[in-house]
Amino acid sequence: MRQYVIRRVLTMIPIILGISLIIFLIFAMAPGDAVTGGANAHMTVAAKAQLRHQMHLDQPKLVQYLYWLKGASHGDLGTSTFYKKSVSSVINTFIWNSFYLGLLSTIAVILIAIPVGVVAATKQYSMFDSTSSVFAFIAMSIPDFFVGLLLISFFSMNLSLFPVSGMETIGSTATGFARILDIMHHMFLPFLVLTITSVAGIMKYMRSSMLEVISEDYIRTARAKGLREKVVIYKHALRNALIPIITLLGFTIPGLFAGAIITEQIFSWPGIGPVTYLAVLNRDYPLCMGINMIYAVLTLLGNLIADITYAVVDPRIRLK
Amino acid sequence: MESKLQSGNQMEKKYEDEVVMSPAKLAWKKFKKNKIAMTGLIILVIILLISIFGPILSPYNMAAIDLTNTTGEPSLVHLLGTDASGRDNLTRVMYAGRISLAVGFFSVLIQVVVGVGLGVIAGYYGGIIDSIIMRLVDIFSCLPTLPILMMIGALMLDLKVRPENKMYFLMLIIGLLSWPGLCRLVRGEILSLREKEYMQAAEALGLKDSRKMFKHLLPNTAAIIIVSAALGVGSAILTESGLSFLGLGVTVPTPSWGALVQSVSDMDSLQSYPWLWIPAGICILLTVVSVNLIGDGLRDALDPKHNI
Repeated sequence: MRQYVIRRVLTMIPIILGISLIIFLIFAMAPGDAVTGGANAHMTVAAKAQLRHQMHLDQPKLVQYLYWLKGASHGDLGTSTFYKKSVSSVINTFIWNSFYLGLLSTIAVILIAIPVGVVAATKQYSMFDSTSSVFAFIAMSIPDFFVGLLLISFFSMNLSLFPVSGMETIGSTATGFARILDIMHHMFLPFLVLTITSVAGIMKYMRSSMLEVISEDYIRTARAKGLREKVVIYKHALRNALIPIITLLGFTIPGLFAGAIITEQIFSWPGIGPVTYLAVLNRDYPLCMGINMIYAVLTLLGNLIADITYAVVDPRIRLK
Repeated sequence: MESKLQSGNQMEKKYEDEVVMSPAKLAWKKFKKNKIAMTGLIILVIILLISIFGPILSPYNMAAIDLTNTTGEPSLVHLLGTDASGRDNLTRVMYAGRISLAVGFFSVLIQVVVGVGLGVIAGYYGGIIDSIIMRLVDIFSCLPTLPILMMIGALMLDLKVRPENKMYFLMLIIGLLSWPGLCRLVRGEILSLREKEYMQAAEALGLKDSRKMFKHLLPNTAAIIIVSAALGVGSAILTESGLSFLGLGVTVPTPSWGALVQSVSDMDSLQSYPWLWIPAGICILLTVVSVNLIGDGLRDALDPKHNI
């Protein structure tokens, strides 16, 4: 097991290099550089040249990439030209807000998707099954921004129940529990959007996984030896049906941090999403590069965790 | 005796009937029985027809500005009202449909060509070629799609790409970012098909590699290609509309469904002019739902184990 993990981590290195090169090449196509951006418009030509020299922007693109790589290997992702802070500190400031939002909605997704999927599978072709599958089709097909705008229009504008944007009431001095309540109040609508748009996939997966297990021979055996239907379903079938779902949850880990750019943008949730948007709008290339690399590394880690948990929960995999 | 002969004839006739059914016909017969999938197909065809022919039949020009009638409410003259520049909204929604659907279909076409091509080559040759292609798959499947598309969108603004040409770049980039999943599936399928007896026969006949790959192996992977292509159209349309909603995809004056929803940026106009953003949003929803229903129906219809 340990050898397997070490080998997997080592194969991640060339993949990360490849990803960073591709993202860097996209930047290399852009006209101008980080110094050309609007934030430095007042600078003299000489000061700009000096800044370019400092940031190695006067070097060929390939050399710039090597400089970036050298820094990144020490954990130094460069300096954001828009926030005027180090890229890692900007990411660290905002990524946790995305994480809280993502974590809560993932918990809600698990709590809804798994029971609904199980019941839909055990009562296949019932009213409940078809209703939930119609809902799943709509939820997986509706664009997140459209759900967000509909919810804002209905809950915030018509009913004035929830705030439209932000994470806390502006100028609020609340502390402790009152502050948490205020944050929850602001979080509810983006949370709802994330939950609606991501619940369908796991629900459908759970249903088909459960259907597959129910048709297995050992379930027939369990029924034949006279076990109660509840025991058959929840003890014998559910445990096995959950295995692929656990893997699937490993893949959602990057999504926890990476957040949902569009949803966070609509609700001005101060997570990594709006930061990505601002970085792109202001051509803050070091920050863009850093965020993209974080997303890529999180995806790789998610895959790794998925594979490891799969081996942990399913002994059959380990034997191979 | 005679009756036996007759029943024998009948059986023969029945047998002939079954022989005539090609796999495609069989799948279509199963698909037609699936009411939900058929509903999806009918909705998609209606949306396609309206998007293609609607702008031609419409009395209004998509770009004709009428400053005397801005943000007009829906009426008999303008069925979906007019936008902030007095342009007929229905015409714009129909025209936007052309763009969004074209981006959806053609980016999937690129995805299929790249993904299937590389998947067949990797699975057939194996060895070092397979390793190289699979490492490429690993790299491309970890690229964060939306942030990269946002960067490309900003790049297009910087390079001053004409708005009407942006859709072609989007098709290309969305296609090039989404092929790894299909490539993996096809490779896995080819790996197992390669060991079948008929491939040994093909080998014995001395067929060329390309003929073996694309004439004998590829048709047997058609089912997974068709299903994942159908589902891919939906996600490509969602990606494009999200990007255009952020103002980094297809941009004004060329409309796409996502860009139309974005045109009401502030909360007040969101509330006052629902006809400007709700129709485009519903169009995206209907299109993606129907594409997903078709994909699901195709999966069942093409699965030989699945009988309706």
